[in-house]
Amino acid sequence: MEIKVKRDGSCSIVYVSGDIDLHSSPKLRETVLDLFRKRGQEKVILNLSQVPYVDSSGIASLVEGLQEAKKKNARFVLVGLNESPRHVLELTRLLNVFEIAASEEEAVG
Amino acid sequence: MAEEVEVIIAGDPRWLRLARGVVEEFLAQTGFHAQQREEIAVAVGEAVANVIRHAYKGDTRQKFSLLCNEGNGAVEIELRDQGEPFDPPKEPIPPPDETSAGGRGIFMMQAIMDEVEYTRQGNTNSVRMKKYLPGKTG
Repeated sequence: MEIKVKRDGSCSIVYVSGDIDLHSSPKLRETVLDLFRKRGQEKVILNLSQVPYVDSSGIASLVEGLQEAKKKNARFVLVGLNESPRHVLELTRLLNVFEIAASEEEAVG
Repeated sequence: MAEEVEVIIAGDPRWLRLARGVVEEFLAQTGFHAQQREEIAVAVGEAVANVIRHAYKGDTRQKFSLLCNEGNGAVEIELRDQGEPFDPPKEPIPPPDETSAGGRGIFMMQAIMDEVEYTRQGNTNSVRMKKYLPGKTG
């Protein structure tokens, strides 16, 4: 899995490429939490268009990101959900819990 | 059961994708359609992650067996490890609260597969996951 972060003022876009599983999810978790905690970002957009697979540890990282955003009165937006990660979020009844944008442009708002 | 694949894989998160790939390749020889194959691989990925985290507690020198069988209208995927004993849930578990960071793996396995059974014999843990082929029932 590869992560690239593009920062623009108080908004960051995190581009993830590859599977988010037990092997890679700690890196994603650290990246997202750091953006809220250390960089004080008001909005973090997670672009998942290059992510074919997310497991429960990846879901846990997303939930932690969302909880941190709520704590900081910030926004955590998912964009580019592929079929399998979307299905896993549906299965775990979390699809409606996250803010999901149809495109990066919409997420940036 | 007619078909059989058995591979031995190190209990290292780096090989999670390999384990899922073996299962998807095996399922490609069966009557499951693409989305079902993907779902079953998700369930098996969760079971493998449980072996790595809970049975072997991150000791990547340990190995587990992954067995795939097809027969009697179903596929059965089994994992065997020699790690710490596991106390499985006796009943289907509900989905975790949306604020909970963990605890979704077993829920996902139970939601995707038709049967999930844990046993321990001697020093070996086994989790057997069964999924009936489309149009077949238990």
